[in-house]
Amino acid sequence: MLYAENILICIAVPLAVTMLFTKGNARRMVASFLAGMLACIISAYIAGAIEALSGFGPEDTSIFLSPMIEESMKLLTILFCIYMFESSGDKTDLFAVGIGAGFATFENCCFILSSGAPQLTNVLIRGAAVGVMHIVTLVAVAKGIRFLKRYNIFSFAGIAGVFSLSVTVHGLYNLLVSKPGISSYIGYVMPMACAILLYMFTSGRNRDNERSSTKPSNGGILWQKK
Amino acid sequence: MSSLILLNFILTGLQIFVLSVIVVRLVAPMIRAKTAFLPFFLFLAMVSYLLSDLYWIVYDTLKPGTRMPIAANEIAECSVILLLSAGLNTMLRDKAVRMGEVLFAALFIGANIALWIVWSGEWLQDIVFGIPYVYFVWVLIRGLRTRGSMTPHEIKSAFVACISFVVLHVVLILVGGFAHLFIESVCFGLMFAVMAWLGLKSYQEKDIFVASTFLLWTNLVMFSSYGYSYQAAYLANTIALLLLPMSMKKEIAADALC
Repeated sequence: MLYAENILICIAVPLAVTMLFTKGNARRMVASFLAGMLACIISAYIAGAIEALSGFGPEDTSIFLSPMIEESMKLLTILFCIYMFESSGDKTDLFAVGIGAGFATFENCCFILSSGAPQLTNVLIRGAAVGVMHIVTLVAVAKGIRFLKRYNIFSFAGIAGVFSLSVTVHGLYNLLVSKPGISSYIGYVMPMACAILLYMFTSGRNRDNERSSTKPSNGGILWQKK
Repeated sequence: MSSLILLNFILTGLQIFVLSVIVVRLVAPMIRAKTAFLPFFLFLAMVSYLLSDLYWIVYDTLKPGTRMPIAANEIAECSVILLLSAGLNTMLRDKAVRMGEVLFAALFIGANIALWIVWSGEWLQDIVFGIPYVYFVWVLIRGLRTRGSMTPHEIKSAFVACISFVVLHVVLILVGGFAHLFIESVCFGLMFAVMAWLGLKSYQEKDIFVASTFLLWTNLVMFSSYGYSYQAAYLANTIALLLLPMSMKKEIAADALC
């Protein structure tokens, strides 16, 4: 039996206290980290309840339900941060990284406490695969939201589209690692590969923006110029 | 392995290849900030489509013969529709909400959802993932009408085709024997004729709204087909995906001229 809420209290209290002595981005980072941990425990409760109600097995819950529930909780948390603190630009990214890291850290803590950490390989896979996955999907969502806001199309359809994309990436990862063998190896590599691609893409865009140094136009929206 | 399954795997592989090429080629225009808007939406939509195909192929390999309790690849398809709708919506010159258009979109997709439920029995899934299609159809109608992508005569013909599509499928459920075979032939003839017309028009006009309509129609035909006709619709769907970036290029070029 794992008392997840007790673990949360144990980790969250020192972090909450640090918020008293920090300011600006450091405080934001700690707050979003805490929010990520809270989102993790809530999504675990929801997944457990739905598993009991729907009669899904643990494997089906992990493959089909968890991606939807976990990504929904993360999206709601970041949307809360965006609306509550009217964050934009780099602050949105900061919240995304914090929430993703908090979520992944708390999930890893619970996993290690329940299964133990005698094998370094398992712990490494846990950290480099699932841990990175939570951060990558949320950073991708944050980038998508930033882009939607930039072009004034912060619509429900746009957010739902970006969200569905993150659910699919998460679902594909869970599906790949559900069976041992080559598919699981591909799955373990996938989050890190996605992280590298995302990093390359965003740094490429930043470089290009710096080079052009002009404010980007709506590009391709002839109808809005008229 | 039956020839149909083999064909399905080949066509899925082809679509994955085509989508991979499209995604890679969309990166360059997307990084260039000036033309980032449309390529960005198309990029996200194509990545979603790619993930949907990959999910399907991985699922079929890891768990052959088992039905998904919740089709996760449908979430990706839903994402494609939502992202395309959001992108196309910003390109509308006139966003006025006309009751007739909304009503037609709701009724047409509503009737399709009802048909999907009859065929698959997955009522919750079909309703949830069918709703974005209502918005997509409305955006398409608005775009086709206000941008002049289709003449009023062509829009009327498309409207009649949509109604006939639904009516013929409903009749197919109700009748059996020779009548069923006959109506099925008429129905499939109509679906593929409209598909060919939209495909040809998309290729000639290179209009993003026409290409999206072609994509939507191939999706609807796929959902209502089986066997080799499904594979033919799937191939047309791959062609529709190819036509989307081609239309995007024309759109960007038109903007650059102004």
